[in-house]
Amino acid sequence: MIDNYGLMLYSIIIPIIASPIAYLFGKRIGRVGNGILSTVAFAISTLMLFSYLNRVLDGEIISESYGVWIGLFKLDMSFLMDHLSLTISLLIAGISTLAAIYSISYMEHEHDQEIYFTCLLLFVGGMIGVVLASNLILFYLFWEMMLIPSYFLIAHWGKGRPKITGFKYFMFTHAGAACLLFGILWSYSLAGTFDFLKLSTALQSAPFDALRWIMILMFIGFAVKLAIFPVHTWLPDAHAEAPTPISVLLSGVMIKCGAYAMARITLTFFPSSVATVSYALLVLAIITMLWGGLMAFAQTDIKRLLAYSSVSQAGYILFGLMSLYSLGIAGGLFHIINHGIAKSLLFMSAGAIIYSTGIRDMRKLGGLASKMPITAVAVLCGALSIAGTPPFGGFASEWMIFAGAFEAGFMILGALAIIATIITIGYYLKMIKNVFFGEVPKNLKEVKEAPSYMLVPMSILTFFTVIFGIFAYVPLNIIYPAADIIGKFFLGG
Amino acid sequence: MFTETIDILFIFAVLAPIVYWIGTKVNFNKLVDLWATLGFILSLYLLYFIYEIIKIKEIMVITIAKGLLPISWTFEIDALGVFMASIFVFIGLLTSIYSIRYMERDTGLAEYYILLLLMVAGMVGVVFAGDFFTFFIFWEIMCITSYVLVAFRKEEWEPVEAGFKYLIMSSTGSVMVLFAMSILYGMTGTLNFAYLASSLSNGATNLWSVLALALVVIGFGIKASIVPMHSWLPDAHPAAPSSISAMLSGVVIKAGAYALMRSLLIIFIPEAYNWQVIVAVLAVLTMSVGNLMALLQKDLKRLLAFSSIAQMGYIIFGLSIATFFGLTGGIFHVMNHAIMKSLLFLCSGAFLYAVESRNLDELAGIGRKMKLTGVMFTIGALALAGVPPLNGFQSEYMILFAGIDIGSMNTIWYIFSAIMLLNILFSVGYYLRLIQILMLKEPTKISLKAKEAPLAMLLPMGILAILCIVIGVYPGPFVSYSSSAAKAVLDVGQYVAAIIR
Repeated sequence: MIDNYGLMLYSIIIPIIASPIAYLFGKRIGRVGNGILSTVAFAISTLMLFSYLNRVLDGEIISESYGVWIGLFKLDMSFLMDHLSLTISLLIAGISTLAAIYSISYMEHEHDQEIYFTCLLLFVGGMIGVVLASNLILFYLFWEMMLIPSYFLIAHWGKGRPKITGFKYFMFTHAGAACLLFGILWSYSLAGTFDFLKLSTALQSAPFDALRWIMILMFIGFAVKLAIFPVHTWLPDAHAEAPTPISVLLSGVMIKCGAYAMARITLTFFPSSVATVSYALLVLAIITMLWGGLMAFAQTDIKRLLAYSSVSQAGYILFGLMSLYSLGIAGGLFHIINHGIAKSLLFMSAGAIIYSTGIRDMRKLGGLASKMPITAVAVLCGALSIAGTPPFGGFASEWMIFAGAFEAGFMILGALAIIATIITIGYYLKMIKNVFFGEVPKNLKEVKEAPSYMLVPMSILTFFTVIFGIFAYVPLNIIYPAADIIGKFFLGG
Repeated sequence: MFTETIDILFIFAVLAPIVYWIGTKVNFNKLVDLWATLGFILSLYLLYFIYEIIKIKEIMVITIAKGLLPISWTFEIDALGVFMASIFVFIGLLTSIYSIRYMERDTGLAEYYILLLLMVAGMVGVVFAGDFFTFFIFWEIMCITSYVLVAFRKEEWEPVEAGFKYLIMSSTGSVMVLFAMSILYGMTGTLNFAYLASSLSNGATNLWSVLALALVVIGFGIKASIVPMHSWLPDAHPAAPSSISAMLSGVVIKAGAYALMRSLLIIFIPEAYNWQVIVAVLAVLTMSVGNLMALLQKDLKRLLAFSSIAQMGYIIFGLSIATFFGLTGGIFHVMNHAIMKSLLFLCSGAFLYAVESRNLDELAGIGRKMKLTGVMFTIGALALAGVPPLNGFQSEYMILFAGIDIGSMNTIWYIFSAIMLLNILFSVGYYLRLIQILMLKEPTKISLKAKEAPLAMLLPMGILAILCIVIGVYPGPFVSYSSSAAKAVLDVGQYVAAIIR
């Protein structure tokens, strides 16, 4: 149904409006003030999005229209809310709220705090916009809008060689976006519309060859964001070197925008072309899983390990989506949530460890379980969840992904995917052992637990990793219908 | 006489020395600055009435000195003419406000404002002209004033040399256009656009008309800085005072693009002459060379000049597609590029004003000392890089779409569009480098001395920066303004019918 006004626009705009306030009055209200401003802005967005829960659960597809935007292209300024957008946008807004709280402590020792929060607000506004956009141009607009602030966040506050890392990140994702734009414009010349609700029918009569090219072009754009195997190389650098709250957002939610776009655009609008290449993409997903996992094994830097683990997990998400069966797609979408929560938790914990000890190298850490008990529990929950151990959230979603693959008849690939989880648990156990057990090095005798601005968001996320494992049916109530709608485009629906 | 918009500019130009003299008598030196600003405001105000007429009547024809001379003066104003003129006068107005403070260290302000007013009058005349004779007179007014303005700081060597190079190259172009005009006159016995259109579109193409077409493309191409006729621009635009650079890069080269649009689409229609692919090759070459050269520059203004060449490539590419969408995109990009490039030149002028340097190594970190200018510069640079939601993106994707849209007819357009996309992608590299150097680096000794620019300079920059965002976020009305201009230039029949009844 069509709303002529509503909260979707505000949930995007409130962070964006808050950003100039943070810039202009940043010096006056200080770091804590800025952090609270961002937290409140994101929390308001989260609540606004949450208010759609009941309507979405009733199966409503809500379109919020503000009239004509560009008349020449028959483009409307409108936003769309259904099961899929609600799930991902809630994840984005929720994790951003926690990351903003976390930033308050993290930014204590950093420079240019007001510009940091300005960029953070714009970045999150862009991400929520991507998920709520209801036509391809608006989608692309927000897609690029989240890129610029995130580039500055990496290039200006990053560690190591931030300028080069940031530039690599920018060029990779921007090149992906260029492919995406080419695909979007090509599809308009075939379909005559950019609108998500009309595109599916409008593309049905288009020539198959052109459709396949468009699908591939767009897929490249999304794959760069999701960091699928040959185009993943920006991720380990960017996620490891970015300031920790930004790593949380990049690994936890931004790469999920790529997965969202695959579900929303690739699978929904190009079902026939996807079906012809799905096997190749499954293989790509397996390579991504194994490659990311093996590389994670070889890391000694704690954040780099987590970054490679994100690459590996992106493979799982792609694997689930490309099984083209409702169960697998639902598993992939659910894994977006679980991985988002668990990886944010892990990055926050890693940040807390670095904050307390000043060391990133796992070989120089040890025995921290007694010094930082809350962080230790958080890491354990997060790691086990990602490794797919019951009763954590990751178990439910990975189980669904594998089941989907077997249901679709991909026995060998499914088996390989399960082997990949062994690698996952291997490197996580290695990390936990190195960091939390064994002898405490002499220089770490005085280490204290992280400040409460860091512990509060971590505790909340820990809670969710457990809850989403035990009561997996609660989030699945929203996710499964979303997957079912997509699955119906394919034979397995 | 020549429509009120032009008349008022002429009157203000002629009276400027007297006002300047009065100003010195009453000890108020800024009087002539305000006088020129007032002239632009009045001119813009009068242009609005023409816009209102065009909205209803579509085309307005004014004929002067009919029967007195063998060739009469005709003005034929359509939506494209008003569109262009509004950009010219608007940017002229902002430049004039900016100059109030920017030019205060220079002498000879009376001449400066005369030339500025005359240059804008010339450009408005060019886009209003309905025949080649009128067109050429105003074209030369525009050219000659711009030569002098480039070499305005005549006590230094660089502007004089650049002005001289510009003079030689640009007059060669003018001569070629003149030659093409004489060929066309010889073939048809008229210089009126409408008569030329009707007589040339019926007859088959012959050697002379193709020669005229080639001369027109080269002649106007020099002004529009199409590669390989671009080499004057990277010298001339940086050498001029920044306010004039903003005019030259922002609007004067657009007069060349306008002339190409008008002559290629009305006189040498694409159905008969099939120039699309050749012009597209030139356009693609222009954008690639411009972007590549911009990457190598150490001088801020020179970098911006090369980026202008690249952006002209996009505009010409939109023109070469010659469909409704292509022209809408191209014309829309004329507006957007005028806004963003003027913004950047004005910002670089503000840096120049503050620290007297345009070397990027010396300017590093200056954005931290001049926060507002820095932010506006960032907005302009991101807009030029085609980053949404700023205005450059809106027109660039429109041009791209037009290219892809006709790709189904001829596959080569897919390749051209892909090259343009690569260019946009590539150009982001140097804009980001620019932002990083100016905004994020630690300030150097020189840039530490910088103070924020005065209000009269911040105001025009602020207006342009806000326009960048507004057009990017809510492009609807601006797109329809450009698409009405595109519709007008594509509707040859109506243009001809307004003269030949």
